[in-house]
Amino acid sequence: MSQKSILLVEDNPDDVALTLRALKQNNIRNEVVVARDGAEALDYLFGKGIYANRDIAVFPQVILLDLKLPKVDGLEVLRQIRSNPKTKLLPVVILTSSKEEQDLLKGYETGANSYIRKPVNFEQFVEAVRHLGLYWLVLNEIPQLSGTVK
Amino acid sequence: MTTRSIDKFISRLKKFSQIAGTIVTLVGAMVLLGWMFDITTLKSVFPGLVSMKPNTSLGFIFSGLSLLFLNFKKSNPITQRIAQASAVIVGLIGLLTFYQYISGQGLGIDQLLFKEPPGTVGTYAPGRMAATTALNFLLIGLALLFLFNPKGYKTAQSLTVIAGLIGLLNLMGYLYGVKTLYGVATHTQMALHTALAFVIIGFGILCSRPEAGFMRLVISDTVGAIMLRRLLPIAILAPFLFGWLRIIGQKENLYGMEFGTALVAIANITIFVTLIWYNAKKLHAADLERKKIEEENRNFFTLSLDMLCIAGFDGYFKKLNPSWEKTLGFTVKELCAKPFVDFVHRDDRERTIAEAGKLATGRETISFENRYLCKDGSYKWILWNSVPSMEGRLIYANARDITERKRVEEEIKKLNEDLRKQASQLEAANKELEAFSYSVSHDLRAPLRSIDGFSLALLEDYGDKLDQEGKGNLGRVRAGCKRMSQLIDDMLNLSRLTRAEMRPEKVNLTALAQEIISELKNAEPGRKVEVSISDNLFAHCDLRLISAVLENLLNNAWKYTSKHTKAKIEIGSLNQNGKPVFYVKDDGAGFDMRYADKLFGAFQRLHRMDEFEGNGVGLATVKRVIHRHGGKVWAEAEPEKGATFYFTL
Repeated sequence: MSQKSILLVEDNPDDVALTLRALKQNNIRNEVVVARDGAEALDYLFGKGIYANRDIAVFPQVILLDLKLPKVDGLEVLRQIRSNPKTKLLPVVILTSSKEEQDLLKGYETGANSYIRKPVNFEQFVEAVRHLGLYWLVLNEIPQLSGTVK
Repeated sequence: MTTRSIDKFISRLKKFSQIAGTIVTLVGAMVLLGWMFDITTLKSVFPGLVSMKPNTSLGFIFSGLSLLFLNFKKSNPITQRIAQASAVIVGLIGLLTFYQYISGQGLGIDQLLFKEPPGTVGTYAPGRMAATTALNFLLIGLALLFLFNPKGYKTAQSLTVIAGLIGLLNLMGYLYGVKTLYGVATHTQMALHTALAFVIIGFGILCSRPEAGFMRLVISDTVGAIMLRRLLPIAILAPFLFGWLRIIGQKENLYGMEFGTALVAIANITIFVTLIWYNAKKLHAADLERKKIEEENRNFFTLSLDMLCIAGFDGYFKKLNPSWEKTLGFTVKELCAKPFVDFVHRDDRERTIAEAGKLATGRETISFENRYLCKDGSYKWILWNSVPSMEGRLIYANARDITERKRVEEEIKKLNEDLRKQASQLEAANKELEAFSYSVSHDLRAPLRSIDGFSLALLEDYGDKLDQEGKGNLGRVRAGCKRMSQLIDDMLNLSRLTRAEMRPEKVNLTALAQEIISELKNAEPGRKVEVSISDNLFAHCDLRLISAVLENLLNNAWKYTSKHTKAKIEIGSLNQNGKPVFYVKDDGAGFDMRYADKLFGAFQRLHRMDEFEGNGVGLATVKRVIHRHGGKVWAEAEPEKGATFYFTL
């Protein structure tokens, strides 16, 4: 199992299922950690709550972040990721339904690396995931984060 | 006469006073010289007449000096003392000499300077002045002393007049040849130049303080003073002159006593009647003029629609014009009976008192508002412009009833409040709408994704277990999702477009159309479409919104000509009543004009879904945008012959 894991932050169980299916169809076998809301995502990244025993030296290769989340919403999660020195360099891809101009702006302003709108059509969605996987998991280089063992 | 000319008159009188003082002093000095060198002309003017005694000359020298020093412009204690001392000396001379006459005792003061032999003409005791002269000096000395105290001016003037009259009487005696007037036989006669000198100094004293006593009447600019100045000199001189002429005539035996008397009477009557008539005419005209101005002012005051008033520093109304009664309902009497503050609204009283205080220090009041009680118990808002007059301790004010204006102001304020509330309500509504669109973007799409995704999953995983119909059904499910997604996007676009801010600028429609056409061509390179776009199509409009319009219209043209092998699309403009009308014309499917009114309705379609795709929002969008620009949009078509869409901006 490759150490390059994916953190998927998504509250809609259908969307989670579809995303995992799309990843499988693209032969992307990286470990996918699913956080069902913003608080869980942060707990995972910083080793709190139910993830208190996690080795927090290990970080995901990429974070797929939905915007509309219960408890702590997507932008707040992003803000906290970007303000913590340990996590601020982590690649975050905003994966969301909204094409609203203000979400786009706020996403980039808060420090997202990329913004992708989830298409309704599943085939297009699979195609989008393929591109995502290829780019962020294979092509993109990330800096050596403290404590990451290759 | 204006205040300025009165001032000039006063200063001239004062100057005359100075001259009088100088003359009298000189006369006294010259007579003394006469005694020194025994010059008869100086001592007696005419030989055979009584001489002016040395003490008299002294008296005149000192009176003259006193008057001069009194009138110094820059008085300092020294000059004042000199003047006072001189006056005292004059008085003493008179008093002591008079005492000699009354008591019959000689005090030895008469021959102190010079001696004259007894039996000199008209002299009772050698070197002694006439009793009347002594009396006059006493009077003059006292008068001069009284001039040092403003309260004594009137007394001074009265004493002076007596002395002057005595002098005048003696002068008349000389002129008329009536010896008894200038001296009873046994007593010393008053010398000629003495009498004259007394008259002169009398005038001098009177003119030295013209603003006081009865001289005030002489210098005023009232009608009475004018009359006085014109008539008085003549009233004194004319009879004097006529009397003298008559005596001369009688002495020359031109006519007898009766004739002479009659002549004098006639002359007096004539001159006085003429004078009085002339003056009466002038005064009549002046008075009429004054009455006219008074009438004007009175009219101005009474007829003014504004409320005019005069109030005192004591807090009471003094004079009110009729507008007060018309506005407040109280009579003038009622308003003047109480302090005006009593009529002011309780809440405004403090402010009003403060403002009145400011007025009392000389400051004007401009646009001061307060409420006044009306007879019926209501209050009216009054606007004040007031100006104080410090000398009269009065306030002159102009008041206006601004109750109506205040009411209108209140209304306007309330309307503004309402508008503001409405505006904020609208803003709130807009914000809600935005939040709604936002939520629609997200929340409506997510379930669609699930439906589509899992339908496909079904097809992929269990497709082999499904028959053709089953697969077809799932296909329809997916197609439904696709349509709904498109619908959501279109609806969102439509709402965004109508809410968006318009930024009008000069837009090149030709270039825009060309861009859209080339995109359409790139998307479907196989299609043969002949496109002709007029050059230089410009319009003043919002770029993004008009792009949406053209996109919709051209997409439609492209779409509805897709069934024809060859298509022609034309974009241009024509002139209608001086305004440009743009059009997009195609020779495609067209539509039945019978249903034209449904064309631009939202979600309305004139073709079936299997004929042409679409959800009916495109033209609704076009209509909304064109209407936002204040323009019109309409279409003409024929089935299978094509359609032309026109719009103005």
